[in-house]
Amino acid sequence: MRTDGGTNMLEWVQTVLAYDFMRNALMAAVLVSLTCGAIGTLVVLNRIVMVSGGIAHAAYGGVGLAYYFGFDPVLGAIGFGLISSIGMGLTQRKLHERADTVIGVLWAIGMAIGIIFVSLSPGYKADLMSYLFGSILAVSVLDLWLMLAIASLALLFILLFYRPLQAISFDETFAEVRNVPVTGLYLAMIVVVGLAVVISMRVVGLILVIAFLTIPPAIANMFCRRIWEIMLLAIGLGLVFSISGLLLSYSLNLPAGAVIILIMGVAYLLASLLKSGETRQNKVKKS
Amino acid sequence: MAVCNETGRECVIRLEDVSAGYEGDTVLENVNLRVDAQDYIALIGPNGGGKTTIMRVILGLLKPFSGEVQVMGLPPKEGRAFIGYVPQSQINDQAFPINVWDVVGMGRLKSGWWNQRYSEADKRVIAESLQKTGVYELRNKGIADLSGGQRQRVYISRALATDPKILLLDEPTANIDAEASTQLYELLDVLNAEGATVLMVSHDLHTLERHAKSVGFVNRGLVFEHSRGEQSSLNEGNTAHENGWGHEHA
Repeated sequence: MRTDGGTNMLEWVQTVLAYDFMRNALMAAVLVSLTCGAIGTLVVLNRIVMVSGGIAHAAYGGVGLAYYFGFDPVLGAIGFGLISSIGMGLTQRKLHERADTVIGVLWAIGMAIGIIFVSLSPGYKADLMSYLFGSILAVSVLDLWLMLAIASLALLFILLFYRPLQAISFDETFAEVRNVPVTGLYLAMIVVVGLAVVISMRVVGLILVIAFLTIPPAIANMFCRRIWEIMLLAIGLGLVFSISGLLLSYSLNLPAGAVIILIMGVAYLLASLLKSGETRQNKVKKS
Repeated sequence: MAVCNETGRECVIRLEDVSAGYEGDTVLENVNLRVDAQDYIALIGPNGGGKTTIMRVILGLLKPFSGEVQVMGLPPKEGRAFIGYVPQSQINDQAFPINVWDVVGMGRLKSGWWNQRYSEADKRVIAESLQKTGVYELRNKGIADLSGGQRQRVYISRALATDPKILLLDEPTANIDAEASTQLYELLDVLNAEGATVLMVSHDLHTLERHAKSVGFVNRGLVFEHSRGEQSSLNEGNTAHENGWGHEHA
C-alpha cells in the first residue's frame, strides 16, 4: 500500500516536472531560497526588515517605468531597487532609529511612481499583478539567469566578507574602531539585499517578499548559535517551504506565492511554540 | 611621541582644550586630559556629563568642535589602532548568534575590506587573550549562554587580542554582580601591573577607589583628577566636584 502511494507520488511529481513552466518554477524556488536564506539572515540580524520592505515597494516604481517605456519590468525593478537601496541605506546610516519615517516616504513614493506610470501605459496589463503577488509559474529563462547571477553574487559577497559582516552586525562600533569600512560594507550589504528582494518579487510578489526573506532565517535563528549555521538552515528551510508550497499550490490550484508564505508562517508559529516550550523547560531545570 | 616631564613616561592620550557634543549641543567644554603610559585612570561623573563623549572623541568616533586630540601622537582615527576598546556590554544584542572565539577574533580584524581570514598567528593571539582573562574553556560557547561577568571578560579578551597599548573601557561593570565586578577589577589590576595603560568610565566609585591610580570627574567642562592616597573625600559621599578635590590635569 505504502509502495503504491510512493509510486503514485513519484509519478505525479514526474508528471508535474514534464512541464517547462514547472521546471522553471522549481529552479526559481531553489535559486531564491539560496539567496534569501543567506541574505535574509543578514536582514534579520541587522534588523533592517523595514529597509527591505521599503526597497521592495520602491522597486515597483521601476516596474511602472518599464511598462511605460516598454522594456523588461525585472530590469526596471532592479534599477529602482538599486537606487532605493542606496538611498535607504544612507538614510539608515545617517538617521538610525529615526530613519523609519523617511524610509516609509521613499517606500510610498516608489509605489506611487509605479502606479502612475502603469496607469499611463496603454493596453492590457494582466501580468502586472504578478509583481504584486508573485507568479512563480510565469518565470522566464531570462529571470532564471538573473536569479542565478544574483544568487552567485550574494553568496560570493558573504563568502568574501563573512568576518567583517559578522563584526558590523554584532558590534558596529568596535568594527569601526578597528578601521573596518563599516559604511561601505553596510551599503554593499543593502545593495545585495535590494537585489535579493527584486528577484524574490517574481516568486512571491512585493507584498509577500519580506516574509520570504525573513521567516526562514528567523526560524533558524531560534535554533542556531552561529551566523553560518543560520544561513545554511535558512536555505534548507526555504527550499523545503518553497518546493512543498509550489507542489501543494499546483495540486490545489491555488496561488503559489501565497501558499509558500502560508506554509512559512505556520512553520514560524510552530517553531516559536517549540522554542518557548524548550525555554520554559530549561528554566524549570535551572530552578 | 611626547614624554611627560613629571612621570618620565610617554604620553599616550592627550586632549587639549577639547569641546565636543552632538548637533550643536556642547557636552564637553575646553577639556584637557593627559594619559601617560601605564596610568590607570577612571572617569566618573553624572549621566550626560560627557564621560562617554570623551571616549568617543578619543576613539575618533566623534569629531570635536574645537581643540586637539592625539592618541600615541597621532590623530584619533590612526591612533585608535593602539587602543583595545571594551564597550558597554548591554549595547550589543546579547542573544546574537556568535560564539566566544568569534567575538575575540574580532580583535584581529584588519583595516580595510580584504584579507580578513584568521592567520595561524591570529589564532595564537586569540587563544592567548582568552587564556589571560580565564575564559579559554568557554571559547565554543555562544555569547548568549554566558553570565554578565563572563561576557565582560570575553570583551576584555577581544580588546587584548588587538595587541593594545591602551585599554579603554566604557562602564565595564554595568549590569554585572558585585563578585564578578571585583574579579574584573582584579584582572585590570594585573593587566595594568603588566604594563597596560587603563582608562575607563564607570559609576562604580566605591570599588574604583581601591583599584584606579587616579580618578577624574567629568561634568561638561572640566576633568579633575585625583590620585590614590588623597581619596578620603571620595568616601564622604559628596560629589568630587562639590569638594573641589583633585586638580585639573593638563
